[in-house]
Amino acid sequence: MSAIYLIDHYANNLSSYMHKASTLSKLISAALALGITMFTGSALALMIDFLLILMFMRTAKLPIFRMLRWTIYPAFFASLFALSQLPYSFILPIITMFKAVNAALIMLFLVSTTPYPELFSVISISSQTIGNVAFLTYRFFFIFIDQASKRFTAMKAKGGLVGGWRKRIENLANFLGLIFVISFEISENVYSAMKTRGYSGKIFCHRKKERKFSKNDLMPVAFALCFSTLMVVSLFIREGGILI
Amino acid sequence: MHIHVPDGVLPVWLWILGYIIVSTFLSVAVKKVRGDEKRGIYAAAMSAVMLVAMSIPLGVPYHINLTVLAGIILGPWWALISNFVTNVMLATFGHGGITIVGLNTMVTWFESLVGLYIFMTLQAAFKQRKWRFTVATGVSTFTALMLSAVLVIGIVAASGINPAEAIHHEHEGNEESQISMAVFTVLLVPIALVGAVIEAIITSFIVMYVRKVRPILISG
Amino acid sequence: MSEIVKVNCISHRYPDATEVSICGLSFVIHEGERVAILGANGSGKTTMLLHIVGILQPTEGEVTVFGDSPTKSPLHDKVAMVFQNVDEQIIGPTVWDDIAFSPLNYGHKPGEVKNMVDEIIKEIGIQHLASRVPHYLSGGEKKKVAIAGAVVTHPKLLILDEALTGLDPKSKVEIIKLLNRFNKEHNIAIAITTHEVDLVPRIADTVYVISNGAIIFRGTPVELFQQPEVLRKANLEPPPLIELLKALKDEGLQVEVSDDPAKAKKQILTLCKAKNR
Repeated sequence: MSAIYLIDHYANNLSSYMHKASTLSKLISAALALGITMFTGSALALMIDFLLILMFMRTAKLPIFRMLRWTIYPAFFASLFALSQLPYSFILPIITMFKAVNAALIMLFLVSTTPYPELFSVISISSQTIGNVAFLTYRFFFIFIDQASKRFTAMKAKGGLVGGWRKRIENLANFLGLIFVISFEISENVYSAMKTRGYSGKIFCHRKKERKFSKNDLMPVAFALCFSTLMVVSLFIREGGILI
Repeated sequence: MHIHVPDGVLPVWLWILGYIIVSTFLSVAVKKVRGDEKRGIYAAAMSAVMLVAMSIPLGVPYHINLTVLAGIILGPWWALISNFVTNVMLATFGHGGITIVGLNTMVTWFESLVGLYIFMTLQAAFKQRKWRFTVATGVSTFTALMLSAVLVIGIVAASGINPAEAIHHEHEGNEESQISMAVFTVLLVPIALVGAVIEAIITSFIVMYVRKVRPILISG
Repeated sequence: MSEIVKVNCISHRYPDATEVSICGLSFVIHEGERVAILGANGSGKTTMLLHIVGILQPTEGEVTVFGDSPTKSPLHDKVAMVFQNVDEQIIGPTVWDDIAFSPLNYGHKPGEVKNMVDEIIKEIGIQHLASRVPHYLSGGEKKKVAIAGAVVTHPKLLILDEALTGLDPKSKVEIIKLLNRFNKEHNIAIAITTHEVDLVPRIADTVYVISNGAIIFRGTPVELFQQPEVLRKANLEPPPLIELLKALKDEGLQVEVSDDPAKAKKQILTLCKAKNR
C-alpha cells in the first residue's frame, strides 16, 4: 500500500503524546533536529541520533521497520555518494549515510504524527494559491489512489501483468493513461462541484484545532533536547581531541 | 529526474540558495496564474497523479516522474507550483531531500520547461502526421531528462564539495580531496539513461492512450 | 406556490459530440416542493440537473431558475447540489472544514460560519464526524457530510443526483428522513433523481419520468402507479406490489393500486374473505 496512505493513517488514527502535541512544537523540534543533523560532523552522534529517532517513533506507536524500509530510497542514493567518498575516508561515508537516513526519518516522524493539512496550513500562510494546490493534491491523492488500486487489481485479474516485458510495459503505460484520464475527469467534476459551492479562486480551509501548548508538547521538546545535547557533547569531545 | 543528493552532502549555501531561487520564481508564478483557478485544480490533480505514479513499485529504485507531461498539460507557471507541491510531499514520506526541495523543484521545473518547449516545437513541425504527439512526447521526455541529469551533475560539481572540510578534523593537507566526480558521474549516468528511456516510453504510451480517449487534454 | 425552476425543451452538445435533448412536458419545481425525476441510465436526468445549477448551458431551449438564467446570473447560495459521486464534492481536509467551505466562500464571517456549521452538524447528527478526515468515512457518512455541506447556507432548492444509490437500506431511510425534515422545517425544495421507484412515494410530491429524451409523465406518485406502463416505457420496473394490484384490477377485481402495503393487505384480505363466502 502507498506510503502516503499509511502515513496519513498513522497521523490521523493513532494516539500518542506526540500525536497530541501542537503542530508548532512538532515543526520547531523537527526543524531543530534536522538542522543539527545537517551540521553535525560526528559519526557517533549521528548513529546515536538514529537510535533516538527510532526510540521516539516507538513511543509514538509507529512501526519502525516499515519506517526504515521507506528510507531505502534515500539510503540507496546516499550509498552512491558514500561510494564516491570511500577513496578518501571511512568515516565520511558513514556520516553521509546516517545524515541522509536520519533526515528522512525525522520527516517521516513529523508527518506520521501530524496530519498533512495541518502542515499545509503553514504553507497557506505564505501563499493561499500554493496552499490550495497542496490541500487539493492531498485530497485528490486519496481519490486517485483508490481508483488506481481498483483498476490495478482488475488489470492483474485479467492477466495484465502476465506475459513478456514488452506487453507488461504496454499494459502498465495504458493503465497510467487510464488513471491520467480518470484523474482529469474527476478534477473537472470537482471543479464543477466547487463552483456550485461558491468557489471563486480561494479555498478557505481553516483547521478547527486549538493551538495551545500543553503537556503533550513535552515530547517534541524532549526530542529536540536530545538532539541538541548530543551535538553539544560531540563538540566538546572533539574539542578535547578525541575524534569520533 | 530528481537530484538524489542526500541531505547533508551539498553545502548549506547551495540548498539555501535553491530555496531562495524557487521562492522567487514561485512568487512570480502565483501572480501569473491569478484568475486561472480551473488550471489550479488541474495542477493539484497533476501533482496527485505524479504521486500516484511514483507509488507504483517498479522493483528498482526508480520512479516515474511525469514532469514533462506536467509541463505539457499545465504550462510553465502552474507546472512550477505543481512540481513544488509534489517535491515537498515526496520529501516528507521517505524520499529524502527535504533540504534540497528548492533545488529539486528547479531541476524538475527545468525538465517541464525543456520538455514543453521541445514538445511544442516537434508537434508543430510535424503538424500533418498522426504520430506527432507520441513522437514529440517521447523525444521531449528523453531529452529533458538527460539534460536535467547533466544539470544535476553540474550542480554537484559546482557545489565544490570537499570531504576534508565536511569531516571538520585535522588532516594531512590532502589538496586533492574533492568528491570523486568521475565516480559520481559514472554511477549516475547509466541510471539517468535507463530512467530517461523508461520514462520516455511510458509517457509516450500515456499520451497515445489519452489522445485516443480524451484528445482535448493534449492538443496542439 | 411560486415557480422556482422551469426547464423547457433543452438540448446540450457535449465536447465529444454527444447530444442530449430533453423535451416533452415542461419541467417545473415550485417553492417547497419535493420532486423526483425517474429515468433509466443515460436518459438525461443528470444533464438536466447540471443545467439547473448552471454548470451546463443549453444549446437550445430555456432554463430559468428563480426567474433568471442560471448561467448568466449566479445562483449563489439559493441552489445547492449533492453530486452522484460525493468523493468529488468533499474537498475539505476534515468534515468540519468541508462543511465550512460554502459559507466561507460566500463571504460569511468566521464567527458566523462557526455557528452555521456547528448548527447543521448537530441537526444532521454528525457531531462525532466533525474532526474526521473524509476519506476514512463510510458511504452513508460521506452522503450526510455532502448534504450538510449543501444545506449549511439554507438554500431554497436542494438538488440531489442519485443520492440514494449505493447505500444500504438503513442509510437510505436515514437520508430520506433527513431530506423530508429539511423540506418541512426549512421549506427547502428538493429535486432528486433516482431509479428506485419504490422510494419515490416517500421522497416526492411530484414525479417526472424521462424516457428517450422526453418527459413523458408529470404527476403524483399515486397517479404514476396507476399507469405502470409509463414506467415500463422508461425502462423502469414498477414495484412488485403495484404490479400485483394492477394485475388484480385488470382481472376485474375492485382494488385501488397503491404502494401502501397496509392498504394493499386490507384490500386483498377483503377480497379473500369475499371469495370464501
